[in-house]
Amino acid sequence: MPTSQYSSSFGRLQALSVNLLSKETMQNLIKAKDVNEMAKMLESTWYGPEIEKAASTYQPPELLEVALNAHLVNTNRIALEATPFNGKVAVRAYFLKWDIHNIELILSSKSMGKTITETEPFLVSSRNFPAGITAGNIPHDEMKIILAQTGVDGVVNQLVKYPYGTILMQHLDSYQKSGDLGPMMTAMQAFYYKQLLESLRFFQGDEGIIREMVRTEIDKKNILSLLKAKDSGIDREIVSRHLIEGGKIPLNELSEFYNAKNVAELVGRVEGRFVLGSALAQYKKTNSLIDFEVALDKFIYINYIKKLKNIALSIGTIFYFIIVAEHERENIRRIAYGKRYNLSAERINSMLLYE
Amino acid sequence: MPTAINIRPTRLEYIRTKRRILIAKKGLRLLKLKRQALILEFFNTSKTAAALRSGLQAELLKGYESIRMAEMLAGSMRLENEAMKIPQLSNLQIMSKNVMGVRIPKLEGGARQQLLTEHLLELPTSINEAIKSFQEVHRIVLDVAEKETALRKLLYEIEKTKRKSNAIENVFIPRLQAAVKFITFRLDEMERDTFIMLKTVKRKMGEREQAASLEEAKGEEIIAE
Repeated sequence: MPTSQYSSSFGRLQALSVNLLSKETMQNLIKAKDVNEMAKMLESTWYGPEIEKAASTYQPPELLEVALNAHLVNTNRIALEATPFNGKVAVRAYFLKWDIHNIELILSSKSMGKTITETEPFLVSSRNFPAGITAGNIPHDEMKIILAQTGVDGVVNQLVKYPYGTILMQHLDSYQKSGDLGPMMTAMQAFYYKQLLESLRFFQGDEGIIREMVRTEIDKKNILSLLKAKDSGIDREIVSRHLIEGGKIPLNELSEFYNAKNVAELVGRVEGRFVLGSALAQYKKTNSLIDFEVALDKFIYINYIKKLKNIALSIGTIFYFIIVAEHERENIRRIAYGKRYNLSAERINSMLLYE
Repeated sequence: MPTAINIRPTRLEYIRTKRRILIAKKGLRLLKLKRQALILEFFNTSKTAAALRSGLQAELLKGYESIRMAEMLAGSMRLENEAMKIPQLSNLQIMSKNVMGVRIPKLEGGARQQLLTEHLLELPTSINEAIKSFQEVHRIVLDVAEKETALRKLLYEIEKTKRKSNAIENVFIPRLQAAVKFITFRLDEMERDTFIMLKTVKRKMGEREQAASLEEAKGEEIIAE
């Protein structure tokens, strides 16, 4: 029997997975007196080195956020290094989201005429203490050159050497006419999901579950767009521009959903595909859409991400590691801000994504 | 303002003062009407302002809660990043509206255009809600500023109108009435003077006529003897 090319990455990431925080540790973090105590508790985990480095500049909870981001940069780098050649394209495609985030930020700041000094600190980069998260697809030095461009046109021209430039160039005319960056941003998002789905080809035959997960992510984004639009009473034409193709729910079906009179009816139409009953009850009480996002995240976690763990010796294990590390970062951040704002343990727990 | 010393007690002045009293009374009535209208407008505006203020408080609570949730779910850095992407507000235009001669401000603009609505669809729900809440807070703050400035201006105008009407009612009209009284008194006095003088002249003329007739009678008696 030939050895799988994923056996080395599986072993490496399995060894690292031991460091992932357990449910008990998370509960202990929730029980912590305050954020400072939380940071102290985390010093003894795999976040310790990043917390120590960031402690000289930041105070909790920002300290935790910076440390968590720096930590995620490292885990992403390790995951990418551990990925065999065949899977690298897919992992890089997944990391495109951070590049897109940076480009969106630069375009917005250029569109508003903000200076480099105003924008640079917010950039996602691979510096020693990044304010955000790096994908590594656009190097930091290159990002600085892009940032130094004057105006949106300059940024787009500079990006031509990357696939983003071609996408953005198609919408440059409409931006110059209307001054609206919306079409560019939607195109970037659509490009991201298209790239991701294209990169997740069937090399081994077990990539199906990841493709399903990505398609459900697209559905999640589309459904949230519909909910936000319905809640704000936005025209169908505008909403349709923000829907992304490639999800499990076809675009015409999504448009049908939008015929609903209100958010509750819209959720009723989606109910067959996602479980949103408790989020709807919460929405009726608070009139806030946040719980739908949490419920959709939980749905994806339970139905797809957990399953990735079981597909050993495949790209699924790598994605599982990357996504679980992201969720862990999310959970710690939610606990930290929950502590800062004195939210009840029950409320914090309701926001967490657990195994 | 004429005082009793420098009033010419003439019929013309009497008529003129009487006319001024009538005009002052008419003005007083108008000022009272204006004051009533201003008070009515003041109470209406203050009711709206109070409702807006309590709405503002509720909206601020909601806004801060949504910011907390956005920090919790998306992180403060993402929140700051997204805040940076929000387009600038359009310029605020201050027009004015005339209420009973009081120019109260009317704010227009200061909001974002449709662009943000589209932008909101691309944001995480928590940040979207925070932005929406603070857009609402911004709208209410502008409304509150408009109403409260209007209230201050109305209050100032009410005070001014009250002072004016009090001055007319308690100082101006009584002085004019005193002037009328003074003129009437002086005219009556003069009439009495003239009457007495005429009486005296008449009496003296009568006495003179009587004396003359006595003299005449005496002269006739002497001639007869």
